[in-house]
Amino acid sequence: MAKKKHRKPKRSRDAASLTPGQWWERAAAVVLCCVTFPLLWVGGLVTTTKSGMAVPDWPGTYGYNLLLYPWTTWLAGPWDLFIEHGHRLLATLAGLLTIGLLVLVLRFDDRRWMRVVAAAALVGVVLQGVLGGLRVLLDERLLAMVHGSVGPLFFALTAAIVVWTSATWRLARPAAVAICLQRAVPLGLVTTLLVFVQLVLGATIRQMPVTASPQTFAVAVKAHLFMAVIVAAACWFLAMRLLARGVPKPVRVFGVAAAVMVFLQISLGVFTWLSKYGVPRFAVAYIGTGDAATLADGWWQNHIVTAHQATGSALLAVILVGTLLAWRFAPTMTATDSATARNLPPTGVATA
Amino acid sequence: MLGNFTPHAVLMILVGLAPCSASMATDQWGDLTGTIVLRGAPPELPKLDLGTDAYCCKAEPKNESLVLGAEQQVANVVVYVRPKRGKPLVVHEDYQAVRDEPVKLDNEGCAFTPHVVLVQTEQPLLLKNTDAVNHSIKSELGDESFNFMLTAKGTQELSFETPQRVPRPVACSIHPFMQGWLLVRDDPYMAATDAEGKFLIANLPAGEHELQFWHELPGYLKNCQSDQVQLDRRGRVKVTIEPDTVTDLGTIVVDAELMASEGS
Amino acid sequence: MRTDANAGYVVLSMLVLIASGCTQAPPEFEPSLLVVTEADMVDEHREQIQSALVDWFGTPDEPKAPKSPTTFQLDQELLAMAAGPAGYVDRGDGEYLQRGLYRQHCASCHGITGNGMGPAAAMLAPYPRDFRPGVFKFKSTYRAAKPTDDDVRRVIKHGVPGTAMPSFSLLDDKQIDALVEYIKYLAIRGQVERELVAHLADEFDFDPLANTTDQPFDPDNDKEDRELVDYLVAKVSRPWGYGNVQVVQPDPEFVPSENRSAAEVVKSVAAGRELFVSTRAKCTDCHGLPGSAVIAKDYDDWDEAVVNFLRKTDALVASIERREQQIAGLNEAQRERGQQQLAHDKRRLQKRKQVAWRLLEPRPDPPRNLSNGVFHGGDELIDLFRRVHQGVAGTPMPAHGSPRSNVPGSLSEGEIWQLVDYLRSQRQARSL
Repeated sequence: MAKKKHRKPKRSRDAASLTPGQWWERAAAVVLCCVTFPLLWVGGLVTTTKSGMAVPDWPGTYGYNLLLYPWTTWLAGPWDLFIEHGHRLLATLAGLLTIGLLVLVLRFDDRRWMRVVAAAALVGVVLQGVLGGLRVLLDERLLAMVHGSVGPLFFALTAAIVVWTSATWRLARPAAVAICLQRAVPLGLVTTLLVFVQLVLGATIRQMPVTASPQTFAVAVKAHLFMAVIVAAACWFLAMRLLARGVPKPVRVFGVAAAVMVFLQISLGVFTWLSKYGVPRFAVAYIGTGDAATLADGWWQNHIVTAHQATGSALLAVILVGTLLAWRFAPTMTATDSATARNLPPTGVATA
Repeated sequence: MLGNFTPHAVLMILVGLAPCSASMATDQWGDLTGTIVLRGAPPELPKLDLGTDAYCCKAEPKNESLVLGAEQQVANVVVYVRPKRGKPLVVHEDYQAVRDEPVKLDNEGCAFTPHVVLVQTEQPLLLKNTDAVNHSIKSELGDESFNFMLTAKGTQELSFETPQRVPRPVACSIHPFMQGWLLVRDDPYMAATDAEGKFLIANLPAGEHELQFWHELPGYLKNCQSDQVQLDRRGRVKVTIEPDTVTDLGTIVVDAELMASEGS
Repeated sequence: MRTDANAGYVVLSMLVLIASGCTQAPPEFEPSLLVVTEADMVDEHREQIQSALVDWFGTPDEPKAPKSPTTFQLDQELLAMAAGPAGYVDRGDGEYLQRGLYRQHCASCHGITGNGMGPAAAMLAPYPRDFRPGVFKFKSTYRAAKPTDDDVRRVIKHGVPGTAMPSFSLLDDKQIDALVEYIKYLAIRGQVERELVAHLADEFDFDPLANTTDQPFDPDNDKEDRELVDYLVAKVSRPWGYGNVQVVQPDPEFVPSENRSAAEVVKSVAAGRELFVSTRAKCTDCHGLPGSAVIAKDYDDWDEAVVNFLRKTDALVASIERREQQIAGLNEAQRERGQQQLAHDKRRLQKRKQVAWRLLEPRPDPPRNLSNGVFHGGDELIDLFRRVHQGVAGTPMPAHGSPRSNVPGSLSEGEIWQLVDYLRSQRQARSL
């Protein structure tokens, strides 16, 4: 969502400043990113609706070749089959797009590291596909968890590729408030890591095997809540730095996005619990229990839970891209810069 | 209580565990007696939390989980016979005569009287409430569990189909400090010790019997002994009843540590 | 060369590690830890009971409807639908059969064994129901009777408002039937396990100090043992066949008519309110006066078992401490015996502590807050009538109606209907 905002005004500038080859390369990156997000969403739905095992074989679907599975059966069949097969089709599309991207990058991009990145993306998407397949074949929760955690990483990578192929990235000049932005970079990296840890914790809760003990689950939930507070604080501070006066607009966009999305994400987290388990015990005294039982696998429940998962991935991408842009606009820290940056507060205190 | 219409007897015969009617007539009977005393300092009993009920606070019931006589004799020890599976005991005619007479369990002064009530299967149990306050009466007996209100001065009658291995707790949900015990057995050969720690089971068929000793604090009176008998780790002992004599098991000593260590 | 070889070993061992992490043993039914530990059994008997349960009831992936010589029989096909991992199996002719409904929808709270100890359990209040004692709260039958299939179906379909139990109304009827059947299966299995443990602990010869027995429990080869299991299966299953004839049927004479005038309803509500606060019904002792807080006095039967277990564990700790201090003052023979007993009790304590750690922390059972009109067991007039009439099985809520048919209860049916009217009026007052 946030990237759309960023992309739209850039289109014309892209067209103006990118060679046609670079433009195609970028277009492929954008399409890949736009396909990956729904892929994550549907993947989340697979977990939510527990459709993971609706198709017991892999890479085929009920004996059919993946692409030859009768589309009428797919559309008209049971919901869990629709979701699981849809996830596989989308994943195939993402894989093909990644191959296309790699071809374009190899052909048109002169940056060597960019070729490595595109190749890594292809390795990533294949690995993720195999993980998904093994998860089905072995019906193994741990694999499901890894599959669920690698997905957001791949999405963040596609978002980063969108930025790396953009004119903004190619044409960026050091910003006026370089020191401020430089200090945002390490915080941004730490926040990215924290968000990812939080995603893995979330995946742990989602994929908790039914044989796990109540104590294990309780620890995971409490860790997820504790991390939510840490992540929210980190995102808030990062957003403040990305929104400091004088920061270039592309970076500011991601500052706003980080703040908005972390708020959205926490709200979704609260509603996830409410829609699944009702009002938690400690809150019953304040808000009561509600009149009706929640509806298991209801539309709202499924989509709130899935949205919570998908927004987590989006948040990861936003934080990563924001950090990359901050670094791009304040790339190098000279010795004096970094010394100043490090010594500023104490010096300030001393002189005061 | 609830399943009068169930083909219980048919089933029992089917699976070969049927309590065949009296295995063998006998006219030789003997009595069994004994005394239980506590050795050592009795454990301190926590004071009952009587809550806010004005009536009960005034009645001030005591913690009766361990009632001792002047010489540390233990009341409310339950002694009962454990017949072999499928071999029910012959019942003396004196018992037959009183079989339909209800056993009473009263709510009196916010306490269950008697503290331990013994009832045979099919024998009526009369639940009374002589208090001026309502009680509920609750016991968890598997398919014959109950928990219902007994209005002030009210009564209710129950009977049970299934014997229990050990006495089961009786409680009041409105006054959770109230605590009693209920033992349901297939035969009348059971007794609880009185205030002098003495029990008497009269008119047992002559021959060898296994006896079970139980008290609410430790559960089974494990490994306790008198000069005559030594109970095993489950508080049981085999005793031979001679015809027309009173078999006295003597004074069975319960160590205070046992009373304090288990809790049932 | 050598470093290469070492690197190869490292890679190889990592692969082995990953592969071993990937092989997932099918879940098993967990033994009833509390019951087994309380019974102080020898390990041999514990294992023999578990294997007998597998023989009679199968496993979570392949449940068996135990054969019982009564008319009551579980439906094997429905059980199969609910059991196993979530998904479908190939019937062989291109048709796929549904499997794993219980694991997909229920196990994350109620646990594979139906012990109410699924992963989410500790975070929920009230805790998810433990099916193993075979006691169910929200039903139409007399207190000690089993619920009817419709009662279980209703709870699955409508959920329990005010708790984490959701409504599964999106499942189709056949799927819900499968879950109902499987819950009965888990309840029967759990109860048979309890009975077996109680029986062996009470009747079999064994030496807990030495952890040995000369009387193995061997239903495979021993006729008497096999008959024992058959007998217990029959005994436990039988009441499940009688739910329908144990339904509490209100006396038609007192059932409020549907076309009562508003004035009649108001009058009934007023009478109900008077009863509610009266010392005769004693509702306010636990549910509080209208508008004030509820008073939790006691635990429900499930938590009470845990409370007792923890209390006894504490008593054992204190006893071990006391005896350790006293042991020096004993004579030699006593000391040896004391030492032996102490060593055994320490092992017992160890086991109890391991179990205690895994149990859910007991919480006093809160009486329903009746002023908000959220009723766990359904809010139809007849639901409320039965709730007041028979109380709630397994909880401190007592029956106010007759404990069995044809005897008067503490309240008359007319009075119970007045209470019901009053309770319903609370709900309407809230929604206005």
